Formats: sequence, structure tokens, C-alpha cells
Amino acid sequence: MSAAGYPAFQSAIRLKASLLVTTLVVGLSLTAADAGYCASYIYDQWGRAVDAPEAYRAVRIVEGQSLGIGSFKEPQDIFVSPGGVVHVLDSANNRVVRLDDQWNVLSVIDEIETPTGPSRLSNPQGIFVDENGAIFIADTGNRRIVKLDAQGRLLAEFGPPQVEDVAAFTSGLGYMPLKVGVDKIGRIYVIARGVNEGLIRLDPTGNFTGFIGAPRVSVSLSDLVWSRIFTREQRDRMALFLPVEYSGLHVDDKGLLYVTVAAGETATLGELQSRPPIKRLSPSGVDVLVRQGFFAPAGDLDFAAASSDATVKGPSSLVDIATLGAGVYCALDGKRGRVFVYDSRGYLLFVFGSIGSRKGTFRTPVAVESMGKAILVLDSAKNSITVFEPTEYAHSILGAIVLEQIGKYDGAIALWEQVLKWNAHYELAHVAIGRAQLAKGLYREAMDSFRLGYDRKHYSEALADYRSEIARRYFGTIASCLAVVVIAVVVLRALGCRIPVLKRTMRRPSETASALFRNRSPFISRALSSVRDETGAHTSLLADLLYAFHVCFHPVDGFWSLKHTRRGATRAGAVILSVVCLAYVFMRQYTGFTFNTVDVARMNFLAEVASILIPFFVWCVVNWAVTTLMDGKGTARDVFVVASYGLSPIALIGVPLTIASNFMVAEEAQLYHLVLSGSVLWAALLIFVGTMVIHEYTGVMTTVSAVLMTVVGMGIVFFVALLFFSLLDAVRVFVAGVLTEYRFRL
Amino acid sequence: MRRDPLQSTGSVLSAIGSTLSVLSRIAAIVGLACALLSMDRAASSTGVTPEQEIQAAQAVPHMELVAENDHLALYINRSTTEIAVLDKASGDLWFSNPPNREKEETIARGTEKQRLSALLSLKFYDSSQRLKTLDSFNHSVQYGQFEVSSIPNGVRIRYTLGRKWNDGAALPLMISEERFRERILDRLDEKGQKQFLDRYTLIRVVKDDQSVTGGIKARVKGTSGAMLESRINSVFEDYTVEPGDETYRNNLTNLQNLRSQLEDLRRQARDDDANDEIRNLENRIYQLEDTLGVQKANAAILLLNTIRNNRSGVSEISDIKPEDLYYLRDAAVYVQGQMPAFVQRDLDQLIKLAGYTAEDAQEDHTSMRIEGPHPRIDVFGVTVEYVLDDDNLVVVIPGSELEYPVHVWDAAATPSGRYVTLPIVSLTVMEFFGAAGPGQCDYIFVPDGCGALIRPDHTRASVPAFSVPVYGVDNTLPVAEKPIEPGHAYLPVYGMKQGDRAVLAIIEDGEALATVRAYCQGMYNSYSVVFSEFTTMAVEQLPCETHFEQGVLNLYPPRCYQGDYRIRYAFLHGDEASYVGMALYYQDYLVGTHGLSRQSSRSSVPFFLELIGAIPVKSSVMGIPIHTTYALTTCEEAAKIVDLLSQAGVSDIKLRYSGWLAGGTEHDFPLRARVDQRVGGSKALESLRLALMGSGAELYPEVRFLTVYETGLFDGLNISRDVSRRLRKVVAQVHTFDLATGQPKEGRDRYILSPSRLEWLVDSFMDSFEHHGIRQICLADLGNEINSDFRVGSAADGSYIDRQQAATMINGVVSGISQNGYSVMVEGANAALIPYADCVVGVPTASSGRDILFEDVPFMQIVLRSLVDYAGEPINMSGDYRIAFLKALETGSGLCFRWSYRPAPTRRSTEAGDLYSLHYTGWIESALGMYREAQSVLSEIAGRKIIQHEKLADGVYRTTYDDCGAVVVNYNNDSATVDGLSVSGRGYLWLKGVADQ
Repeated sequence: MSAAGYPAFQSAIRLKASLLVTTLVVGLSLTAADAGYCASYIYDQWGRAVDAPEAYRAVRIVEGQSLGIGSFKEPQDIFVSPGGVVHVLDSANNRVVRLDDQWNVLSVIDEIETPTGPSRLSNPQGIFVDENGAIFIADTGNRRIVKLDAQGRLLAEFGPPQVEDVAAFTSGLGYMPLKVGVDKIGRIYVIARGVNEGLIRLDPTGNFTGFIGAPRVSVSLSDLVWSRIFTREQRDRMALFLPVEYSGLHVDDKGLLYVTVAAGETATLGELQSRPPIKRLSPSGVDVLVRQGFFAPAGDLDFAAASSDATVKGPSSLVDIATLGAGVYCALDGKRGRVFVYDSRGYLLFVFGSIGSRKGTFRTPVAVESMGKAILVLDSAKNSITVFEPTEYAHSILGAIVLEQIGKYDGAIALWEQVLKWNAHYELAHVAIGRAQLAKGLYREAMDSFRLGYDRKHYSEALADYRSEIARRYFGTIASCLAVVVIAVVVLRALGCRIPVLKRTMRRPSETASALFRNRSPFISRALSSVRDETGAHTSLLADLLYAFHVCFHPVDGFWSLKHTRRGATRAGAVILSVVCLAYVFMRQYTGFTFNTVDVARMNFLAEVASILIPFFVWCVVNWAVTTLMDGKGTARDVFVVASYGLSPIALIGVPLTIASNFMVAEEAQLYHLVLSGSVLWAALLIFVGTMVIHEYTGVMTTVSAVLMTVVGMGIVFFVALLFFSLLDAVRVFVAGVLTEYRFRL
Repeated sequence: MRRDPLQSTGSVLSAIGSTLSVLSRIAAIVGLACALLSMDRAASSTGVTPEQEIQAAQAVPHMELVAENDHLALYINRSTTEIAVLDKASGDLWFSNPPNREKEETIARGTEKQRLSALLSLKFYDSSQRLKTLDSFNHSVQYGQFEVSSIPNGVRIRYTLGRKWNDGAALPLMISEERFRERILDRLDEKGQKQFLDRYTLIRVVKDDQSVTGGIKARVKGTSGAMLESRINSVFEDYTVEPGDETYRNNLTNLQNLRSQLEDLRRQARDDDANDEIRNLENRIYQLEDTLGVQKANAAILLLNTIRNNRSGVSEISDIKPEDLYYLRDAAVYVQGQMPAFVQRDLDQLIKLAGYTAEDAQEDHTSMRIEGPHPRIDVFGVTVEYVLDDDNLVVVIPGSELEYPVHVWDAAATPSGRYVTLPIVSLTVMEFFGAAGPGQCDYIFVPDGCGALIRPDHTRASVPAFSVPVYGVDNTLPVAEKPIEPGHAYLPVYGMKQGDRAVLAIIEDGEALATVRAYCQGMYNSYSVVFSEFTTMAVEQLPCETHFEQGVLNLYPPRCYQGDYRIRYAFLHGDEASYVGMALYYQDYLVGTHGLSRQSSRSSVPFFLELIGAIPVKSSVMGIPIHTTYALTTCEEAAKIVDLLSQAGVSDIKLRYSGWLAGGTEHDFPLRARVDQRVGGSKALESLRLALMGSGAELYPEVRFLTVYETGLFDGLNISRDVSRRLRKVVAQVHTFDLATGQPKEGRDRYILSPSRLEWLVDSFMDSFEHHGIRQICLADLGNEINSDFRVGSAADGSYIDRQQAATMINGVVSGISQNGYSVMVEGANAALIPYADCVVGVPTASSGRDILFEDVPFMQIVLRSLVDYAGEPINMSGDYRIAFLKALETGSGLCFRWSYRPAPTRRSTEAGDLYSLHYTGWIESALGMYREAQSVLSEIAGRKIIQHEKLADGVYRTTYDDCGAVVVNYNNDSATVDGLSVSGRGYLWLKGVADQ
């Protein structure tokens, strides 16, 4: 049923206006200066909108009147055929307008020639043209898909798919096809209104072959319970039910489907990331979209929450998607009128467009389509097509991507360098240049580039190379130094000398310390002289601090001693706590780039410290309260001392680890995380043991229940605090309102 | 005999309409006569012959000549206040309202259609905060609430907008019989009298003679009827109420007759026959008594209800005391009965004819001791003056003569009533002056950005109407979220071209409060218009969501702008009637009013270089943010870049150096000109100055005064003293907005300097700046920002500083600096600053690109050309530098680049977002290439006026320079052939010596 095979009825061609007006001035031609200014931005790695140079510029507005065919009326879709013919689906006029790439009218199909006489479209919503020029139209009002040739003769007609149990079909709504797409081998994909089972897939002859693209059902506990109760039929129906209503559809040149999903108004960024609104489906319905960018492609990342009082809120409402070649695709946000352009790996390249009454802005954008380098946006309220062309900046980026794909890296690098001239902060360019530097062996420079490009993976690669290069270069020196040290130790051992300091410090900190310093520093010695002995009430601060080492390795003994013999432990505990806070901030800020996921520039010291101190003190208070009820022997002081001493492994391990992380590569991530979680576990274990010791619990189970109840109690405290503060806020708003009125009304 | 003013106006209009053909013919004759006479007009002094005067007078039917001079004649229609201006040189007639609107108007209906007859309209918020619009026709002329008086060279009209009295207010509720006859009935014809008598009931309060037994029989049966009866009897004591009309009187006579008959019968006959007759008579008497009783009751109820409804302190009939009614004893009054609205309307018309007014009714109400309807409070007074000044028509609205209700008691505002002030918030002037119907208007020129044209015949009616605030927006008024670009009109001018004639409006006074508006036929009515609206008083709407008040509270400053709103209209004809003609006219106007001189001896167009010194950065050490500056370009490095350029042959460099002050681009409170240490300190600045002197470049260090940053306790900024206040009395800050969400973003506090402190700050800065020995300065934001200060007491007169006053203060400061011998560079350049500026950067080369705009025109550049040096936005900040370059050639702008010596630090460390394309090494080669390419053209056109600018084809424009040549630029990707000359794609052509054809 190809278009070529259809007999040509020249006389029967009913084209209302078969115009070939070459001299016609099309629409309003705009120069650069005419083009509307639109603040353009891009999202950085933290999901914040940052300035970027203008990427696409509206160069032309195409309107029906100036084409000489009367105004478009609520056009809903646009398609550029592989042959470069622009098909505008002029929905309210129930016609298809075909334009050439110079925007001259080729023909207007407003009547379908069928063997049984002329037929008309009825509020059609979607259009697709295949390689042979056959036009597929989702003829929504007539509940069918029609396949026409370029002259408007009917080639085939596909009515409602023969499928049972689709709620939308059995309800009053019926089959209302909205968008249609056809892949290489002629399979037809349809988005229909109210159908949330996925895309309807038809075979080339129009037989229903299934739904595709419904997300996998993740089985939850409640599902399991229900499945015990339900019959098999009910279960099947339930499996199908996951509301996914596709909004836009595009078939790329590989025959894969790009689809967009309209996100819920109240969706958060996290939900957008876990259930991405842009997908690339294989014919079997598997999502194969690459999402290597900082965020999964989802339109706007930063948006006013649905509960805020902003005029436009909620996530982007993606309505259409189109590919631009070289794996680059763009999605159109109908809500804010923005076009988001992504590369094949899912990096956001550009954002442009907005809602407005200026050139290059839209009122109700409904469809996006590419034509060569240009991007066309169809506006159903302005009844116009806006033609965007890339600026030199965007041109360079797109060019570099193409060159990279065909392996011409040198040319690509030259273009990326151009790009940096326009936008010194363009991450992709930095990454590409970094890769080139890496290939040339400029590891240090590559590291800088990857850091600017915020590419941890490549940074780590460069670091690994750099590290081994350094190691190679200084291997001799390092090796000989090590050899000297080893030999020295062996020799000294052989000579019978002992290395006393370390071991003794571990075991008997105060004594060792005082012994250590007695002869060297009169000041410290005087401080240490206050140490009486192990059973005495007073020990020096330093000794108390160093006792933390003992506690770490001998928690039972250590905590007992802290509780019963060391009165200075509170003081030392406070110091340890502050050290842990500082160590935490240090870790957050100075962890190597490969492992650091914190936005260092936005870090707030007080907030970081508070994130340690608040849970800490809540733990202390609640634990004390809980254990008091549970016959614990420990005092509030004991609880504090245990918690603070218990945290010391975090500082002890965290700080060296943080320093080491700057020299670690991604392959060593397991080691890094093992050590990091080891320190946390250690701390937890210490606190657990400490709790047992100070409260003199004999059973492990008693301690476990005490700890659990403390955790629950902390939850309650946080909940009450939240309640209190929201109440306080309500009071504040009220008082402020009354004051305002008092000031301005009286 | 009813005369409807509405109808009479209509007949006037249709009369105008019917004389259209005659009119056009006569206009043609006048034009011809002018053309013939123009030959000897050069010699003659007046140029106006008696014939012409006669013809002119004939040409404007229903209008009266009120002023004229050598160039213009002003006519007015005294019954509608419409005006018309005759341009004697061309014979063009310009009407304030479209003369054929009765016939031509096909879209607007009712009051909207009548609005076409208005000359001005105003907006105000009523006491429930709804915005209302009143116009001079519907709300003033229709009620006859205006006065026309003559003034030298013109005419003055005082409008009272808003009806004083509601419908029916002139109909008295109660009126004594003699006053009713004397003032109303006697002045009406029989039909009118009948209409009145139908609706008014004559009621007498007379000594109760008990003639009707049983007194008043209430119509209402049952106990309430009995209660009413006793009530009435007790109120009137031994008096009673009786209707004064004929039926009652006849019935009473009948009753007496019947009674005497009955008595006769009783006396005469005592047999059975007579008994029947007696019974019969008794029945009739009984019935009649009943009827009379009902009539009396109705009259009493009407009277008592009228008193109850219209006397304060009385809410029930039972509240009326007998002593309250003594004044009515033995009186005869007419009381208004119930009437439907249409009857009320009829009677209202009749009573107006009788000459009885609402004030008379109020007098009668007072004498009847009741309160009638109150006069309305929303009544406004506006005065307009039309004056002929040489070849211009000047329209003046004295701001001091605006009248609006101030602290008046509004009984309807809340259930208990309250005092309200209803200020006029905006004034729209001459909306329909020169209004053009379909096909009549070539284009409307609006000052959006560089200037833009609206072509009504190519505009869809569905696009939004146009508006642009003159001199941008007032930042002291709050914005909750980032607004869609409102645009910025640097020049307070607008105009319209119709065939071979055009009108240009220049807002001379009050321009900082003006918004230029335009709309096309089909949007609101059948006409295309351009006009200005003045914000007479700023409003801040405070959301008020306490339990006591829901919704918003409008906050107003204590007074409206007291100066004049003044628009000057110039009439252009023939070749002059185009946007180029308008621009040149405006340039001449600027030269004439400010005594400017033109640069005629320039040999080159300067190369504008913007270098960014230090920028504020923040870094973090152990999570603690540290704010410091980072030098993108030190003084030494700036000298290096300039040196590179001048070695490559670039001459006449104007270097705008920003970020040199302590604190960098977001510099400290500029009380002193302290140089940032990171750019090298004051010694480095000194050596930069010397280095630039050597290479002939000029150094313009940039400083910003209007928005300031707080940097510490001792920076000299006293927020409570130096910062403007919003209307809600809080300190005024400027927010930055998130690019994606448009919501205000966390950032450094940026305050709006109070205009009252500007002079102090500038003086202090300049004293210190003098020591650097630099005689040039870039006053960036003074050129494009004007903010008011709503703090009461901020102005010298104890009031606030409105935007116009702020504009004047800025002008004063800049002119002061300029008079002290400094060369001044400003950004954008609001028109008022052009006289004091030596160069202007950031002159827009595009408009805001709104849908209604058809194309951009370099109006602003034509005006600036040969007055000052100017440049557009930096070329490297534009997405497409070739287009930016061509634009510079088309508009004769100097080339401009914004660079830094060092690349910008990572984005994370700085809040400034637009530093992404500054690094000079990437640009210097292409900049030099552009400079060399442009120099051939720019050196030729230096100091020359633009005398013609036209669009040759889509994307192909030609700009003709006075006496040297023309440049044709082609923005298209493909080459274009124009007049046999081929212009390559994205290229240009210099046609030396080609004069305007």
C-alpha cells in the first residue's frame, strides 16, 4: 500500500489551492535585530539555571494569511517529511497544508479522495509522513487513522483497534487517536486520548498488536496482598493499570520512538528523575534513552512548587519531541513555552523560548519539529509557525557533536574551543577538551578541564594517569626512600632498640603523655601534673582527649573508666564533639572531586554543624529520658560523654580518608566507601557499647530496645518541633497581618 | 418634546458624517489653494488669506475657530469639546476624534462606541478597590459637566467626570404642593403633568373631622391591620391623612350625599319598601366608607414609609413620634410613589427640562425634614488646555488642577461607612487624536527600544495591544516575580503616518510618568491609535489576608504629580511624513530646546571598549563563605589591551572601565572614589590614565549611583536615610530573579538610592574622583534608571519624590558633572540626558519584538546621530556577531566589545551570570577584523546625519547619510540584488556619494 503503487488519478485531484507561489513573501521575515530577546539559560550540575548565550533565534514567523491560504486555525501538529516538505495539520480548518522548504505552498489537502467519494477530516490532531511520502493522520473526530498520498487520496484507513477491556474505549470517550508515528517497517504507533496503557501498536495492515511503553509494574507489598485476593483476570487488568498518558511521539531515523509523558502538576524533581517524562522506546517498548547528563532529561529542573503562589508552577508539561540528527533531540514544554535540546547522552545543550507576546515566544505551543538545522514550533493560539535557527554559538556546539560522532576529534576540539569563547562555562566543551588533553597525555590539564566540565568519571581517569605518571617519575626516589626506612628499622630492631611511643600511648595515654612531655615542655608538664592517677578525680584535658584512642579499641573498659574515674571527660567530650563537627565540615568540603557530591560553593558552615549537633543533642536528651525510664544507671553527663567519645572514629578516620580521597580514583570507590561506612559503623558500635556500659544493662536485648526507643523518641521530638514551628509561623503571619493593617488602615 | 442629549449628539455626529464628501472636497481645495499660495508665501508674513479662513471655517462644520496663528488653526465643537487642527501649510485637518465614527465604527457598541468621542479618560480605584475608568464623553460631556473658556492662543476645558447624582436623584421624594406646582408641573406640558401626577400622590394632613366613620380602615386585614390603624391614629393624634386627589374628594362628596339621602329616607318613610331602600343605601355607604378608609390608609402608609426610609434614626414606623410630624399638619405634600426604572428615566428627563435639579430636590427634602439621596463621591475634575505654539499643538493638563475625592465619607464602603480617598491613578490623553480607520494608516511609530513600527493593516486583531513605559519601569514599585519584559522607551515620542501626512507627539512634561500605548483596528474598535497614558499616582497593592480584611489594600502616596502633563504635537507632510522625518524633527527639537551643537568635524566613529575590572567572588574555607574580589582586568592589563588595539591601528578608543572601584562591579557605596586593590590601586589607575593619554584613548571609569550595595558598618551608607522607601514603608530593594522560575532569588542586598540623596552622594564621589585626574566618567545607570522615593518627607516640601521629580534630580546631577568639564558616558540614555552626554553606550538596536510590532527602525540612532557618539550592545555579547556588526553599520553605531583580560572564574564562585564570553584573547582578532572592515564606512559617516533609512527588501536595508553616501546591509544568508547592485549574504555595500534620491 505504498504511495507509489497507487494509481494516479490526475483528473480526480481535488486541491483547493495547488499554489506554487515562488515570489510570495512569506510571513514576517525577521532580521536578527527583529528577533525577540529571550533570556536564555542552561542548568548547571546542581540543577540551577545559569545564564547562557542565546542559542536559537526566531528568524521567521509563518502565518496562514501571508501564505495566501487564509489563517491557520488551531493547528495541532507539524511534520517535516524526509523529503523536506513541511506538513501543517490545520486542525480546526480540517486540512493539511504542504509547504516546501522555502515556505511556498505546495498544496492544501482539505478533502480526501476515497473510492466511495470525498471525505473530510474532523479535528485531526496528529500527522506523520513516511519515507515514501504517505501521510498518516490521526483523524481524531472521525476516530480513525487515515493514510493518504501526497495528493490527498486515501491509501488506507484504520479504525479503532480490536482490543477489549480498555477503559477509554468502553467508556463514552471512545477511540480518539491524538498522535501517530510509523517506524521503518511500517508498524504504526498511536497515542489515543484516555488510553494510559501505553502506545497502541498496529501492524502495517492496521491490526492491533499490543500496547507498548507502559512502565514496568514494581510489585509492592500491597500488590502482593491484593494478588492473593484477586482473580487472575482482575490481576491482569491491574497489571495494565499504571497511568501513563503519552503526550508526544516522534519516530527517529533508526525507527526508535521518542515519547514524552505529561508530568503531574505536583511532581517533584525527584519524581521526575525516577519516572522520567522523556523516553526512547525500542519497538518492544524498552526504554533505551541514555541518561548520562547531570539530570535525566525532564525539561525544567527548577520550578515553583505546586503549592507556591507563583503564577506558573509545577514541572514542565512536555507536549512534543523531535530529533535534530546526530542523536540530538528537543522537547517542547507547552506550559512555559520552552524548548529543551539534549544530546544523545542526555546532556542539556540549550533552552530557549518562552510564553509571551513577542517574536520567538508562544501562547499555546503544541508541536516542535526540526527542518535541517532549524527548529519549528507550532503555536495553536497564535496560529503560526516560528522558525528558529541556531546562532553561531549553537552552530558550533551542534557541529562539534556531529564531528565527534564521525570520529573527527581534531575538528571537534577546534569547535569546542570556539564554544568556550562564547560560553566559558560550557561543561560539555570542557569535557571534550579534557578528553583531547587526556589523549595527548596532558593529565594535569585534563584534570582541570574535567573539573570545569564537572565530569567525575573522566576526572578520575585523568587522575589515575596523572598519579601513575607521578609514581613512574618519582619511583626511584620513593623506592629508595622506602628502602632506607625499612633498612633503618630492621637495623635498629636488630640492634635491640625499641620504638616505645606508639604502643604505650595507646594503652596508658595519660601516663605516657605526661612522661612524654615531662622533660620537654614545662608548660604542658605543669598541666599534666594535675593528673593524680587512674583512680583520681582529675585528669588533664589532653589526657582525656587521648583517652579516646583507648576508648575506640577498648570500649567496655574505656567507657567504664570514663563514667567512674574521669571527671574531665565532659570537657574532653565537648572538645571531641567540636572536632567531629569540624572534621565533618572538612570532609564535606575537601573530599576529592571524584567522590564529592556537595555543592561546595553553597555550603553553609552553620547548617553543616547544625546537621551534626541537633541530632546529637536530641539523641542525648531522648536517650537520657528513655534510659531513665528503663532503669538505666547513666546520668545525662554519661550519655553525652558516650555519644561524643563514640563519634571520635568519624574524625579519626574521616580526616585522613578525606585527604586520601583527593588521590583516589573511581575504581577505588569501594575501598573509599568501605572505610567511610566502617567509621560510621564503628561509631555506632561504640555508642551502642557505651550505652550498655553506662546504663549497666546486662543484656544486649535491653540495650537494643533502649537504642530503638531512643530513635523512635527522636522521631517524635522532630515531629513535635516541626508542628511547633509551623504553628509559630502561622502566628507570625497573623501578627504581621494585623500589624500591617494597623499601620496602613488606621 | 423630550430632548435627549444623547440623540442630539448623535445627530451632530451624523451631520458631520453626512458632510464627509463635501469636507474632503473642500480639504482638497484648501490644499490646492495652499500649494498655489505657497509661492508667494515666502514673501508674505501671515500667509493666511481671508478666503482660506473662510474655507477653513467651512471645512470644519459644527466647529468654531478658537485660535490660530501662521501655521495652524484650532477649532472646537463647544457642545462635545471635540477639537480639530488645521495645518495651513498642507491643508491637513487633524481631528481629536474620528469624524465619521458613527458610520465607520463597526466593532464597539454602546458606551464603548461613545468613548470614541472622548478626549481624555481617567482611572481610579473605587472604595472596594476595583479599577474603574471614566471618560470625558460618557461621564462628563453627556451630563453637561464641562466648561469651555478661552485662553491666549487656545482654549481651556474643565471637565467634571463622574455624575454627581445618581439617576432619579432629581426626583423629589416629598415636596410641598405649591413648590411641586410652581417648580415642576407649571413648567411641563399636559402630558408631562399627567406623567408626574400618575406617580406622585398628593397627601393632606388635616384635622380629623370624623367624616369617615371608623377613621382609617387599614387595607391590611387582621391584627396587623388593626395595629397599623392604631399606630397611624396615635402618630397623627387628632389629625388624619387623606389623599388629595379627585377620586377621594368625589367619594367623600358621594358619601355625604348618600348619608343625607339616608337620613331623608329614614325621616320620610317608615314602611317596608323604604326599609329595603334604606338597607340598600346603608350598604352603599358602608362600601364607600371602606373604600375611603383604604385610600386614607394607603396615603398614610406611603407618607410614613417615605419618612421612615429617608430619615436617619428611624428604622420602623413605630419609631416615628407625633412631634416629628407637627410640621406636616394642615400641609399638602406630594409624595413620590413606586415607579419602575423606565418611568423613573422618563421623569428624570422631564424634570431636567423643567429645570428642577438634584440640588433643588435636596432643598425640598431638607424642608420636609427627610434625607434624600446623597451626591456621589466619585466625581473628578480635570482641566485640559489646547494651545497653538508656532507650528505645534500643545496639550496641557495641569497636574495641580486635578481634583479627586480626598477623605470623603463613603456610606457604602463598608456596612458602617468610612472615609475614603479615591485618587486618580492614571490619565489617558487624546486617545483618538488622528485615529485612523482601516486602510488609512501606513504605520504607527512607537519608541520601543530603538524604535519600531506597527502596521495596522498587517496586524492580526488577536495580538495584545502595545504599551511601553517611558524611561522604563520604576524599581521602587515592587514586583513579585520577574515580569515579562515591559520594554523601555528611551525617547518620549510617538507618531503616526497616514498617507502623505504624519503627526508626531513629543511628551514634554510628565514624560517619566508616561506609558506610550497603541492598538490597531479590530482590537477594541475600528480605529488604530497611538497615545500616552500618564500614571498620576503610583499604587502599591498590599495583600491583606488577616481575619479582618480579605483581599488587597491599595496604598497611595500623599499627593499626585503636581506639574503639568504636556504633549506637543507636530504635523508633518510630504517627504517629512515618515519615521525618518519624525526623528529628524525630534532631533531639531532637541537641538532647539537645549541649544545643542552638532558634531560636524568628527573624522572617525569611536571604538568602544568595555573592560571589566574586578568582580565580586565568593569562596569557601571550611564551609565559611568568604566574599572578596577577583580582578578580571587590572589597570595594567587594561593598558595592555588598549596598547594591543592601538598598535593594530585602532584609533579613538573610548574605554569604559567598570569594576575599578573598591568592591568591583558590585562596588561599595560610592562615597569616595577608592580604587580596588586587586585592580592595582590608585597608582595603577594613574598609570593607566597616562598610558591611555599616550595612545589617544579616553578612559571612562564607570560608577553606579542609583542602586547601591551595603558593604559594612562604616561604608557611609545609612539605610534609613539614604534608601528609598516603598509605599508600604519598607526599604526598597532590587531583587534578582531566577532565570527558570522567575521567582526572586537569594542574593546580595541591593538598595535603591533615594533621589534626595543623589546630589549629596555624587558631590562626595566627584570630590574624591577629581584627585585621579580623569576628566571622563561613565555614569552608567543614571542614563536608564529612574526610581521614586515614596517616603513621606523625602522631598524638600515635606512630601515624597515622584518619578518626574527624580528624573529632574538626575538631570541636575548629570548636567552639573558635565558643566564641571567632564565628558559623560551614559548607558541607554533616556532622552532627558542626551543634552548632557558625550557618548551613549548600550543604545538598543532592536525593539522588544512584540507581536504587534511589524519592524524595527533605528529611530533612536537617527536622533542621536551627529549629536553624540553612540554604540549598541557589545558585539561579543550577542549570539551572532556578524548580524551585530551589520546592525552597527546600518545604524551608524560605533563598534563595541566587552572584554576581560583574564577568563572568568568558574561559575560556582560568582553570582554574576553573564561573564561567559568575555575573555579577550578569543575576540581580539575578530574585533580587529571587524574594525578594519567597518572603518572604511564609519570614517566616512562620522558626524553625518542620517537623512534616509528604508527597507529595500526583506532583511535588506539602506541608510543614507547626509552628503556622503549610503550603506546597504543584507541580513539574509543569500545575496540580494537591489537596484542592480548585488549585496552578498550577511554583507553590506557602501555606496559612496549616493545622495537621497
